[in-house]
Amino acid sequence: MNGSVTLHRGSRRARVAAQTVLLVVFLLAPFASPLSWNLTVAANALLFGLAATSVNLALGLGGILNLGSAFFLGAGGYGTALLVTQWGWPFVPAAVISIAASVVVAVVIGFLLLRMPRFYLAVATLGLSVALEGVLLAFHTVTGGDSGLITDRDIPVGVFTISGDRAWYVLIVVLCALAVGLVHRATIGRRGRLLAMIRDDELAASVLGVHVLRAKVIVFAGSAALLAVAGAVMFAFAGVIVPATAGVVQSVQLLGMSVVGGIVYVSGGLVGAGVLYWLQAMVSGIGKYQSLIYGTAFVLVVFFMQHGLAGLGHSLWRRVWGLTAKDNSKPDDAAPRSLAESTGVAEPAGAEQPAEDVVSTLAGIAEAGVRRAEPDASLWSTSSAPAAGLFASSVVKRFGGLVAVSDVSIVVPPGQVTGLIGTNGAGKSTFLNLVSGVETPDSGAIWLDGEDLTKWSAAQRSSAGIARTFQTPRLVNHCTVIENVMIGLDATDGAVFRRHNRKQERAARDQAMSALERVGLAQHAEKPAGALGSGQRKFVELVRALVLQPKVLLMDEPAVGLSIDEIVDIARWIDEIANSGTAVLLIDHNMDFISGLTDYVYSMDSGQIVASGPASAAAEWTRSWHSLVKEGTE
Amino acid sequence: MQSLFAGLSQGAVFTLLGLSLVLCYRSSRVVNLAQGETFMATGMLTAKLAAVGVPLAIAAPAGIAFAIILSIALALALQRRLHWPVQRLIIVTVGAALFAEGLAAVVMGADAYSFAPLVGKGTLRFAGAAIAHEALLVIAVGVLLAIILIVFFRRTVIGHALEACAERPVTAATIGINVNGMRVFAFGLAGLLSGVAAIVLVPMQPVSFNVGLSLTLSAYVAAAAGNLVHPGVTCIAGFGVGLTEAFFGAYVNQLLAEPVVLGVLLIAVVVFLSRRVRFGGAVRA
Repeated sequence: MNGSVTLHRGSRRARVAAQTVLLVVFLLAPFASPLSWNLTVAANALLFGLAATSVNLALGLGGILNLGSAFFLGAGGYGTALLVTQWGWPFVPAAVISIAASVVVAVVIGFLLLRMPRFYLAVATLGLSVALEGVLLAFHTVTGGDSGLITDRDIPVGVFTISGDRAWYVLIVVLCALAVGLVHRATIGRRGRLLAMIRDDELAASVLGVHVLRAKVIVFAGSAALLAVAGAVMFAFAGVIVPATAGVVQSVQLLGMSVVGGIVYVSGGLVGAGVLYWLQAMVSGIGKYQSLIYGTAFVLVVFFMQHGLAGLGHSLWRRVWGLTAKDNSKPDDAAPRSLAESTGVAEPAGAEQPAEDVVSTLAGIAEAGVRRAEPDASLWSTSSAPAAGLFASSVVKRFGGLVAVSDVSIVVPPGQVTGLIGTNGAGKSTFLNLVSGVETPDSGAIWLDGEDLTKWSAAQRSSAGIARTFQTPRLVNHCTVIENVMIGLDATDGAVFRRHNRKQERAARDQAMSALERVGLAQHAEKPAGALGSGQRKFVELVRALVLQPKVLLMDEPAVGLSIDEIVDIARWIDEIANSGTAVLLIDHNMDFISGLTDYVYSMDSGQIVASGPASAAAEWTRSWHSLVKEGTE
Repeated sequence: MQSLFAGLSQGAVFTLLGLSLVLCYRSSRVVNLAQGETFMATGMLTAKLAAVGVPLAIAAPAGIAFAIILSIALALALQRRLHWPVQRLIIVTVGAALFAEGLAAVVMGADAYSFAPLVGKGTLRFAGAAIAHEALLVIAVGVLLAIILIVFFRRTVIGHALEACAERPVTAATIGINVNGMRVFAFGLAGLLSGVAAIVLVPMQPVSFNVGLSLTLSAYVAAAAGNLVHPGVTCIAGFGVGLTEAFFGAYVNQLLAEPVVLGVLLIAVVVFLSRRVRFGGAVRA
């Protein structure tokens, strides 16, 4: 463990050193005579790189495909150009106002479109890009039409005046470095983890408490701001801006740069822009090959080099520093210790059964009756909202003509395990979705500790203390196990963008590790979650839900897909969670699993609660049900 | 009146391309932004063949066949990659579109190409407007193919099987549907529709290398109105988009017609659709 940490430090130092060297080289290049001949090309490449970096920010980090990124390039550029040339504003305030306006537009578009399936924003922005180019051409009296707007390239900034290629070049290098630094900051620590969660599974992120839409709008607006900056500087550097800057070809080319450079890498935009713009400049005069070059590079990289040029460089870099991907995720055959072993508690009678015999094990759990105390049934009285615990009152949900949940009232008191059984299609999972905020009920109310949270979003309910697991675990497969657990901690206040704090980061890691140790998954902590078996994934998801220390834990069929040992583990664990004061709602269709583990059971059929009572009574229902079935078949 | 028919013939083409988008999306959840390129390819090839003296009776089917082949090639290239995230699939189609456009620019240059219409050059006088026979042909072909496709989706086994392929590919495969075959078929059909659209429209509106993406986008507005799955809504919206563009162009500003459709109309359609969508469309837990 220590070894890998020092390795990381070593590579980190090497990386910082390499970055500094790169920055110095870029800054000095124009003053070293052999390179100065293509200063304009270099500056332009960097400007396109700045723009492409914003595509990386949106797509690689936020999972937001903005096909019309040139729209914001044009908005920043033309906004500045119009203010400077038509109204005689100085450059700096004109640029600031245009950039701010672009951000406002991005926020509005983001709130409107980012809640939709992802291709809607992609195509809508592409449409906007075409539209802006068209508008710029249509109002040619103001915008200069095809020939565009022209400005003086000497820009006074305070006491300085930026003039000449060299000064512009230095300014552009500094801007690029700042942009890369800013984007990099969004990739590390909790921000990076939460963005990965949002990218992979928005629903699970919301249920954990992340304000998904807000985070996506911020990322989108940030990328728009970078684009607008690039647009404004492009206008001043070139001294001219034409409608094509905002157009669809420009948009697609920026995407091409980002893709060729490597979408998931912060440096991808700069690398891609450098290579493609250089190619373009080399074959200049043959402008008609431009689209073909971009298209070919684009298609080849998407199909055959998924991580782009930066990905290629990255893997070479790791090889140089002796850090291969395998080092971090050595295959580990050791099976996770069972909970009983790690906590020193004797296995329940059920575990002594032969491992193959699922039915008898489950019966063993039922007989052993992990939760033996006779509960006070009045805790589950649905006549009024209880002061503590979860209360659903007369909840109704229709899907078209189908009434999935019809007038369901249940109570989940703290410190108790409440069961909800029913056949497939009885409406159990829909009910769980209604409670966790994934769906909104048509009527009825959800209360927690005497507070009505029917109108609250999934994220708000999560912060209020409602946690859930899914029937099929929803983890971020490419993140490590420990990172997945840390996401649970990260999500507590819902905001993705707050100050990055190394101390908190370490505390979160320690907390996640000790939680993993409790379920015996500590030795898998650094493996990607996708490499775990389905049972282990369920435990990881449960740990992730629990690190939030929720008031209410909703579990959707926790036993499905688990081995017998794991079922015994999870049963003991559920017991422990309830004993610590959490209200647990357990959904399953397996009566044997539920009856030994719960205090009180609701039975659901066709969207309605058909019976409820203490677990011991519920076991009787199944027995009579079994005999009914037997009679029926005989 | 003149604008009405101009709008309707433009709308017919948007409808056909919109239906092609619906076919691709319904069969494989791919938003095919390279759809317009098949239109461009058909137009270009047919025009080139016609220019060197090949009779239209051969040149037109050859052009359509070319569109079908291109479309199927894309389907085959994507076949084993459909598990990719939606954005990445879109990026592939954008890359394909850029590639096609670049190739056309190099091979055919920046000129616009056209060929003689299938029907005579005559015009029909109607309510004070002169309507070219070819415009009527475009509209007729658009309406006819749209109806055939709606019936195909609603009433035929293959139509339902296509739906199954998109919704639950594995399940569809287990009940004996050849999922990959169906997808290739759907893309081929999409290529056919776009190709036919090119054959009827290009005599009226010459085609150049860069028409593809903007056509795709206008067609997308129509398809998006039907959530990319409803062929009926797509047809109505396709004609609606064509009419909007024509009337706006005739009475307000010719140059602003396309920006209005692509900017305002597209956003309006999507915002209208977004009323009930949450969690990026993944409403089921």
